[in-house]
Amino acid sequence: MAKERKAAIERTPVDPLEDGGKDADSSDIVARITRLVARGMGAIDEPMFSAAAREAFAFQCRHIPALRDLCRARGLDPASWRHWTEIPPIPAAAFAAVPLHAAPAREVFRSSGTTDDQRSIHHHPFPHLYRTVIDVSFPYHCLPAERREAPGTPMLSLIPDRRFAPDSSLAFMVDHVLDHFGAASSAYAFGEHGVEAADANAWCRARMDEGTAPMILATAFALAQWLEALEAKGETLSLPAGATIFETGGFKGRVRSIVRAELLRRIDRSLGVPPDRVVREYGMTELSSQLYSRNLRGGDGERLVPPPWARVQIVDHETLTALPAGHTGLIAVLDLANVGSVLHVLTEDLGRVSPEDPEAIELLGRADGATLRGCSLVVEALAFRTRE
Amino acid sequence: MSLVRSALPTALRDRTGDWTSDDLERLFAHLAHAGHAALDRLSADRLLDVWSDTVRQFQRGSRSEQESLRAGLAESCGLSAAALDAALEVVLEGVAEPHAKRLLTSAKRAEVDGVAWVVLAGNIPGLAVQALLPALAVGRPVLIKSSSAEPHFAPAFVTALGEREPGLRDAVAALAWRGGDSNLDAAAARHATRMVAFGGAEAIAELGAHAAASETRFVAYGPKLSVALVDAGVDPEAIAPGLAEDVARFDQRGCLSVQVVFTAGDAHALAKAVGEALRETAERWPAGALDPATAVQIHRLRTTTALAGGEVLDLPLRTGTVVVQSPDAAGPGPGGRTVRIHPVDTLRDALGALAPWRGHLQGAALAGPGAWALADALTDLGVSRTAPPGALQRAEASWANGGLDPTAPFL
Repeated sequence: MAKERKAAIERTPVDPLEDGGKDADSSDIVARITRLVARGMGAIDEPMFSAAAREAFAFQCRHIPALRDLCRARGLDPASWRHWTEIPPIPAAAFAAVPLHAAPAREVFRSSGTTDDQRSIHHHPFPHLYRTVIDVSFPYHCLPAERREAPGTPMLSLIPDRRFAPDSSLAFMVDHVLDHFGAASSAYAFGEHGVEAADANAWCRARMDEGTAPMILATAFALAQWLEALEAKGETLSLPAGATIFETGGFKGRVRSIVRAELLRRIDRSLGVPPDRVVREYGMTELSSQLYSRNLRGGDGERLVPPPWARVQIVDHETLTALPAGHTGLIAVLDLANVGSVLHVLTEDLGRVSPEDPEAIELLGRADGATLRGCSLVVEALAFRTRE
Repeated sequence: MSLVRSALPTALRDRTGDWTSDDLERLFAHLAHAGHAALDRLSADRLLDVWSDTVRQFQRGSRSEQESLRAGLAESCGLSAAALDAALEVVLEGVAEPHAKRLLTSAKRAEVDGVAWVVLAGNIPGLAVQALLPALAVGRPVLIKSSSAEPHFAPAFVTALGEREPGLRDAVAALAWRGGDSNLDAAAARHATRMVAFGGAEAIAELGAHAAASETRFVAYGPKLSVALVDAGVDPEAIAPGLAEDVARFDQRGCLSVQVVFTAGDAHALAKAVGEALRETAERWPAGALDPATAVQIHRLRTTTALAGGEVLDLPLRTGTVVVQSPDAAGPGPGGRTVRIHPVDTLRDALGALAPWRGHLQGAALAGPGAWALADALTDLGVSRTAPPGALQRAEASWANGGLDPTAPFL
């Protein structure tokens, strides 16, 4: 069942000076941002961050005509900007409408969606930068201190193998994680019909016999599938102390959703993994960086923080101006690692800056389902027709 | 007029607590027996008098009388007070005396007994009157179920009818219960002879399933798209105010709310004029709050249009959104007073762009002889109402919503 980790997947070269085109322009800014990321999780002060953001945005405007035209049409003058917050956020859905990449794509990621015109396409010119992001932030947030330098953590992925989901940015990430941080016994248990519960259970029992604490990587939906299979048979697993779960994705686009607290209770009951060992990750196809909860580092499992090379704002859904802590709004992420595409992304997710911890945000669900309905046929109603 | 959430026959008025399917069975039985008897005794002239007087009360009742009702409606519908007044103005005008008389005198009598169950699954204020009048015109007792998000208008109107003609208390009832309550919906579908629903696709699908299970005849008025066609040579400044009203009334939530404009003239000039008119309309009829889902869609449209080189007018989100795009992009928008303007070489090209939406089209505001020349072709595409800009939403009682005679669902 353990699959070969050195599968014959073509690897892109890691040298940043080769990636993304030959011009010195892209090599220069990409190399600088790669170095910023590779420095690690130490803070990047605002002036340095804003300077890097301005330079990255200028690079994007030079190489993405649509972005340049947008600035012109809106009367924006990037040269006059001093702070990263002046860079306009671009709706994530724009990735579905227009190619937005500053150099030839080396990887192409597509979001999930019911029809082709709803799927975002992230043409990623600098996947090495994405890998560097993962190398720095994943172990910091997701591996216990004793495992960050140790040979390898047994990992079970309930996220599809990249060979079967070649355009999934999450599969790309998990493939890299298993490759670089996973023990030889790491494996996948997700097939064409979803979670392969029997395989997952057998793998876990092997780890229980060994006494080695594994990591399970899964979307919330896959976790729920697996738990249902266990519960249907009245089975439980007692994963060894120290086991962790990397949880992402939520129930986006699914008809059924489960309150997260309930999911955590069921994980604890059926897998023996307490809530403080479930690390929450927030990422998307349109971004290169991820937000994580800091519970393995003593923080709150419901509050997520960006890496130092990204910034998160909660903005008013009408005016797109920043909201104070405690106010619910749309999540906007400025990600320097997105230098190859769109720097500042306006998501369709709701959140708020935690009043108790202003560096962190709390996720509050999708901004979907208009509350005021009438008899006018609007795009939101089309989504229902498509699902039928 | 204090807010009430139900209007029931006298015999059932003391009922308290949440409704059960047994309660509904009793209500339907009462409406079927006592309601038919009451309607049989009521002459058409008397019905017209009672109806017209009630409509006048709601149109012109003293401010204090209507104050709490209108405040409640504005809050539940998410419309500003001025926008609510603008919405109710056209709805009530459409069923006022001359129009009501025309419908009542032309209506056939229902030959089959039984009660109609009318479901209003949305936030359009006053919608109840558009179903209630034709039901009464054919002599059909009716139970109106309001949306739980707008539970006020129907009970208030039905109560007012009953105050003028007590017999109508046995023939018409209004209630609200939570949408998607499967037990109650199934019970109502079982006991109704006719079902009529107004609302979104999801709600209609659920109701349709109940109707099918009970073999109850069901007519659904689902969400629709309305458009405008503007001929070359039409002065944009002259029609923009009317177009803006067609967009902004009901905060663009009505089936006759214009979302898409095809023009064979100067699209840029038209966009500018409509944008300005939307600003002025927003001052007269301030928009209600935008929910995040709608705002997200609007931001998406504005940005993707700009990225693709299209024109986007600089308007505050709540004032409205005007974009100029290729006709290839024609289709429903996000709402929130958003209008997409599509330049075409000739207006006939608009028919091709609209063809994929056959069956989902409702109204067309027409400006210029070239636009009016296409009225029949638009009817072939399913458009049920054509009017000059500014008049599209002033449909009167005999209007064939969805191409259907208004009395047909109740016969």
